[in-house]
Amino acid sequence: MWTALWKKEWQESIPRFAVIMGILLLAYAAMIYFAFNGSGYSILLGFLSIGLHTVFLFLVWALSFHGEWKGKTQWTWLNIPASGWKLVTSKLAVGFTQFLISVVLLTVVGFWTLSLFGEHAQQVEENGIAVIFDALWALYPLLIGLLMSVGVTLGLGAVFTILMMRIIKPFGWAVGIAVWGVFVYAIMRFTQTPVYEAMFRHGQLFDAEAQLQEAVVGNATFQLEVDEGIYLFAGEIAFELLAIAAVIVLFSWLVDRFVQA
Amino acid sequence: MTEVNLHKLTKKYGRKEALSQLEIQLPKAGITGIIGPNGSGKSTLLKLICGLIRPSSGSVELNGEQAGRKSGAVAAYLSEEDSLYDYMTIKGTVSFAAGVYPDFDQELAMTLLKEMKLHESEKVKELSRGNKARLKLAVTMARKTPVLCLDEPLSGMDPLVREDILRLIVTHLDVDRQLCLITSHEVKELEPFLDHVLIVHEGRVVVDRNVEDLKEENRKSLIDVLREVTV
Repeated sequence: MWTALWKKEWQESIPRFAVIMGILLLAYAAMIYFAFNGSGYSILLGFLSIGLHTVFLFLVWALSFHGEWKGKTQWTWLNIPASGWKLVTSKLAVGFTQFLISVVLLTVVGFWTLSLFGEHAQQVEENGIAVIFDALWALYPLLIGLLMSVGVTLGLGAVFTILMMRIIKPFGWAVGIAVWGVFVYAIMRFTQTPVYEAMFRHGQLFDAEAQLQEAVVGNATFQLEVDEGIYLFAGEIAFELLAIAAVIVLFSWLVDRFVQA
Repeated sequence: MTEVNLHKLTKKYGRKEALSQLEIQLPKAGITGIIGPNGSGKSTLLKLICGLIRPSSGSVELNGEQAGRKSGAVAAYLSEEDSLYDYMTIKGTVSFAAGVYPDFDQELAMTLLKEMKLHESEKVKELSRGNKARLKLAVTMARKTPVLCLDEPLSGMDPLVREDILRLIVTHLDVDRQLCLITSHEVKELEPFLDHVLIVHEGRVVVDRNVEDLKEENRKSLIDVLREVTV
């Protein structure tokens, strides 16, 4: 049953994904054009593309859930005798798959643009671009993890708000935003506690400081200062995944028990 | 067969009471018409039975279990609205239904579509209103659930479509095992097919009778009874 739901969600999302990819491809074409001319606009467009990716999941998940009510298909969707988690995860999985495809494309185009920009920039800038390229590549796992974390937090917040709109009327949206805000704040505060440190800061996967120093080593022109202690731990990733799983369980429960068509 | 019991069922939208303290045991099989003026609570009743909305108080029980999201396995709901996925083709709609409804009879669905001269390759968004109604009904009938809740299936349809819809229900409903709850304003057209009737007025069921008994007792048509009790 999940496969049939996934297929339906994929089919439903294709026009939306095509529009988003169309906009991004236009931005990427402009980025490459500016990079060939050594123009700084290519970097600006690169930042805008990254910015769009932070709200990518927010957009696709919100439109997917809201679309059931907008298209009046909620009567069909909620009458499907499948557990809530199947209805919820099929939508989330499709959006996340498209997000990953887009992030891969962004990565390829981003680094290519940067190398083109370096080749076509002034000699002075060229060295700098090479260092930025190396630094970004060295920090890539951390940056991509951060992008996903922000994207998923915003996206799940949008889904939670939409579900609350269908549970509490007329101010479910306000309750949704407020509760999600408090939840995210509580999680952030918890990650700063000694308990969190003792439980989850284990299994170091990545040391940003070491990576950066390695990236800029031998380059006398640049002095990069890195805050000590920017690490990526397996325990922290496990915590984030557990938190996401708990939120999905909550959504499934809300859909099964409280959401109204 | 499924027992559908409503116990002190109340549904409010804001402060307005759509249904008030309903205490009913529905027939286990056959065709039951739910009739009444606009806004009397007919559609709300069907949505509550299918677990698509929640009671404000009281309960709906299907075979002793509270109606809820899982009721879709027992009660199929046909919406008055265009609730089909318009980006699918007719064939895609049937394949999707076969993938998500456990008791879906795909062969029956395809037969019904052929009977109604609907072409598999047509896109839902390109269908006329009448053909969308035919497709919705074909998919719902092919679900083979013990309870079918058909919300205004005849509303706004031309006489040919209405005839098709009624023929489809009468021909393919298993009247010994399935309960078909149907709301409609087309009382005259529906009357010959009904076994049982509920007349809903201002959120209350004012008549809950076997149609034959009612007609014999009152010597009046359903529409006249409706007029009398809803004045």
